[in-house]
Amino acid sequence: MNLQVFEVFGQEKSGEPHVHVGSVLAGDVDMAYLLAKEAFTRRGEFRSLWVAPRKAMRKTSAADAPMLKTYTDRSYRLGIGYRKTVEKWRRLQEGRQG
Amino acid sequence: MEDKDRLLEFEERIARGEKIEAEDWMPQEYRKQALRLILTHANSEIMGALPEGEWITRAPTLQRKLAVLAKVQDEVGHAQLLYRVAEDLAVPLGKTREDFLADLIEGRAKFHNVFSYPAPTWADVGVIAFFVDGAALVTQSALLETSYGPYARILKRICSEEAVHLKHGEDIVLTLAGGTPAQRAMLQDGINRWWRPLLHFFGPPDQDSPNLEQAKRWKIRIKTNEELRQQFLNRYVPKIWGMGLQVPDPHIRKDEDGVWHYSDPGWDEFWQVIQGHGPLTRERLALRRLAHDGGQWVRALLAGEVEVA
Repeated sequence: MNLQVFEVFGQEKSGEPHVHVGSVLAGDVDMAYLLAKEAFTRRGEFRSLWVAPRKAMRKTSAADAPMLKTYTDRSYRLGIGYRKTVEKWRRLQEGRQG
Repeated sequence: MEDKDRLLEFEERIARGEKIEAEDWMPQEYRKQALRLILTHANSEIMGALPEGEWITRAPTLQRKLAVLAKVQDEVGHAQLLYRVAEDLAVPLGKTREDFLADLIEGRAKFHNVFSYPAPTWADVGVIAFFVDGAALVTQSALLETSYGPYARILKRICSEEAVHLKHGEDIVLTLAGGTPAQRAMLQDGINRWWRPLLHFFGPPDQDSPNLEQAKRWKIRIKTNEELRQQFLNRYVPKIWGMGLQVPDPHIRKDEDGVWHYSDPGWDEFWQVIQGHGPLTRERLALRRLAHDGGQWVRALLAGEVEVA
């Protein structure tokens, strides 16, 4: 049969992201949307659905998973890397008082 | 990487509590066992819709009719989701949904024992929805922790819907329990009829369950057959007593350690049923075939193989 896999994403509330909820097998994107509606929203769980053909998506494979890791210190990219500011404020204020 | 190293890495991932995804490397045996578990679940959902489908036209009120109809739709919907998960897992084995459905119709695939039994009265509908779905929910809730990620994710949705079925069943059962003497007798008969199949539902004693140890080591399954059966008894025996009805086993009791003791249900009937020789296995599969063949033109249409004029 001329079917392919479509990934399904649903949004529960306005303003929230569309989250992956599963997949359906369908002949085209409109049929995929209809099947996703039947499979995932029988109780009004989502206010919006997105369907996309799996073959159009690039996914992380086991081979390229290491590329997503960080190997060096990245604390300069994070708030946690600048915690010393608290101490610096304190010292500065002590110096001005004394 | 050598398979031995991959296996080691795989088992370390499981030990760390990581979930395995469809594209990940996994031992062939893991794939087979997870697939068997998911397919048995999928087949059971689709076969479970049949005894209840028989009752849609006979449900006593419009409200009940709507609820049974919705339950049947949920079960078939669950089968769709589960076959989809199974298909992704079965890619390296070259099997598709068409194969799974054919295996089921031809009697080559397993499904739960309980769906080979008749549902002769309205009380059976209540007992199925309350006790059989309750038993299924005990099993499925334990599987929420399974190491196979796609199955664990889809189980969340399935379990939340099954929990509604259970409330629906509880409502039917309580209505009968609070009804006329004839209604109470009908309910007691239903419980008597389903008691043995319910004990069988969780599978044979653990020592007779050949794949269990490996499945637990890889966290495909989380609890043993007996652990699940105990959990079920602990939840449901008090409910039967609470309705002032009898558990059809004179030896049922809970000891000081919280362990339930019950009469050996005997396992010959169980093996007969799951090998395709249950009281209604043949009739139900014939019904499944009728639905499958009758829906062929719809599937062709969905697949875009038929031009609509």
